[in-house]
Amino acid sequence: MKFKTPRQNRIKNSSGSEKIVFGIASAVLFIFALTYIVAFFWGAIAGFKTHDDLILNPFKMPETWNPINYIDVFKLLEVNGVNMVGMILNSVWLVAGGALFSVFGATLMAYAVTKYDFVGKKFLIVMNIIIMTLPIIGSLPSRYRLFSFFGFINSPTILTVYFGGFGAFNLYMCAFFRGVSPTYSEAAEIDGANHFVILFKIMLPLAKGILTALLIMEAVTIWNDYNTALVFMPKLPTLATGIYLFNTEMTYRARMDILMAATIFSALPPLVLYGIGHKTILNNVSLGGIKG
Amino acid sequence: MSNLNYVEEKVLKEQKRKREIVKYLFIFSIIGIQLLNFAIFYVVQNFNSIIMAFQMKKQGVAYWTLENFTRMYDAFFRNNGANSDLMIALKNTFRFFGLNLIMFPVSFVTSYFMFKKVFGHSFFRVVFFVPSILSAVVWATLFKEIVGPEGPIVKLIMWIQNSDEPLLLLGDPRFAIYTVMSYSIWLGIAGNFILFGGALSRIPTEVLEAGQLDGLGWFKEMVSVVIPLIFPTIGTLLLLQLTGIFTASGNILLLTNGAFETTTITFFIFENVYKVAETSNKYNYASAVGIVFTLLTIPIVFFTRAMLNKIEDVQY
Repeated sequence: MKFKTPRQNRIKNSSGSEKIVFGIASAVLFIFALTYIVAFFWGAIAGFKTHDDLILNPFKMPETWNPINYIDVFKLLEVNGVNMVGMILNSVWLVAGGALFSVFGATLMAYAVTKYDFVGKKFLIVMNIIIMTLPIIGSLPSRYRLFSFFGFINSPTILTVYFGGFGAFNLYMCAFFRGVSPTYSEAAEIDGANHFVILFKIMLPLAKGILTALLIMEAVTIWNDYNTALVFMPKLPTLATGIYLFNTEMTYRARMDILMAATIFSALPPLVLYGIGHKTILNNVSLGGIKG
Repeated sequence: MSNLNYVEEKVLKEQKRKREIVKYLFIFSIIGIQLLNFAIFYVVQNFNSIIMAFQMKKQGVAYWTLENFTRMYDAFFRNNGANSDLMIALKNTFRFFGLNLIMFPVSFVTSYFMFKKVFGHSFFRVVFFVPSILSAVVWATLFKEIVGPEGPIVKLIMWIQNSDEPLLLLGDPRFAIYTVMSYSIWLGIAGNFILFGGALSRIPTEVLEAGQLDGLGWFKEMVSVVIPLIFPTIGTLLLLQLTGIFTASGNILLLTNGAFETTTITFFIFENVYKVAETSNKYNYASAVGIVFTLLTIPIVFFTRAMLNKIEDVQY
């Protein structure tokens, strides 16, 4: 008599109906996946067309391939006096500063709350849950006036507000720090390490994986964020904002081909970042419960 | 002897006090900026919001008033309330909220199927990242062309209906909102799949194998094993989903800019700020609208949290 391994059993157990359901699921998912790929490549190909060709035959292969569009985009895409290079620079400083500030703001807050006892700690934990679960609707007008008061409008000083500390990143990091055994810091303490040494030399290196994941996620979010720059820094448009403005404020469909080339161009950095980091993200980021 | 003890105790106490001071200095140094940000851009900001809701400006001079609220009341309850911008916004917000409630289980099941390794799962795992990593600007630009008058969808409808008049799917109040909603469906099928996938991958395989040995089918396994195991994640996302009832919205700005009866509460507030002079009374009106809907959200938050807290987490 032979013993069955669980694996054999699983195959035997997957009944006919299960196979059909999985087959249908697979087919549906495949159709969706295909539409994403087709849409993206259609945009990329559209970027190679001439403007007239694109308007007249949007869904045909180009009559002639125009790689020059992807170069022209640097000259022709201009919004509020800022060209494509300027927009990319705006995106870069906002992404670099914003992602660093928001991830480290949340990390330091989470570290203080999970590893230390201090007056007001409970308040901070409860406040984070309130901020996450109760959306304050209509705070934008007040926010705009405050930003204006502090001179954040059209200024890199807007980065200040990214150093926030509350929100989902706080939760992710709290979960992480709770999982770090106190023996690490206790051992270091006995060796005479001070609070800063423990934080920077022991804790943050341990958190390298999750920090990388959060930094990539936040960098992509900020790179794609057209709203912030649209409202608060119209004179310093980022690439996402610039493409939106180019699309709406220029003469209608003035240069559709250029728009497509710019659109596809702006998609490349997130694709590269996720290509590098998607495994790190899947392995490190998880959202638990927020009870209490 | 007792004197020595006393001295020792005093020294110890002094050391402890010093350690406490050092500790507080450290904590403040790492969370001071965040606290300041919180004080200004949460506490002051929201307090200011409340004040703004009860104020208006006449020739640059602010005065206290309930006008913003009466105006809002009129928008909802006066004779032609059905056609007011705000009423349309609220109706559409509910539409998007309903859609979110449908898409939530759909995106969970999608993640579950990928977890169950349906055919092509590793391909899906890569491709389904794409909607969440490319800018909405990218997707909206592509989507607009696809549903545009020259696009394949309109061509198909024209062919089926045998007509030569192209439909304006995004430019006709009859269809516009549904077109914006289908954009959300298109890109939302695998929404949350990063978080669901992360939670699912943490389920110990022995648990699932035990169930399979007992002959559990995929549906039973999902409902009676998987969902309870990852309920903390599901509960949190569900809570955020439900408390977002008045912030539910689609990609209005990029697709229709609020035209053709597609506005939502969120967009309505945005519209009252974007490109509007800072001193405008529109800011005050938007604040009032925001406060009313925030207040309406509070009982929902409490109720949902109470319900979720009743469900016990499984430890594993």
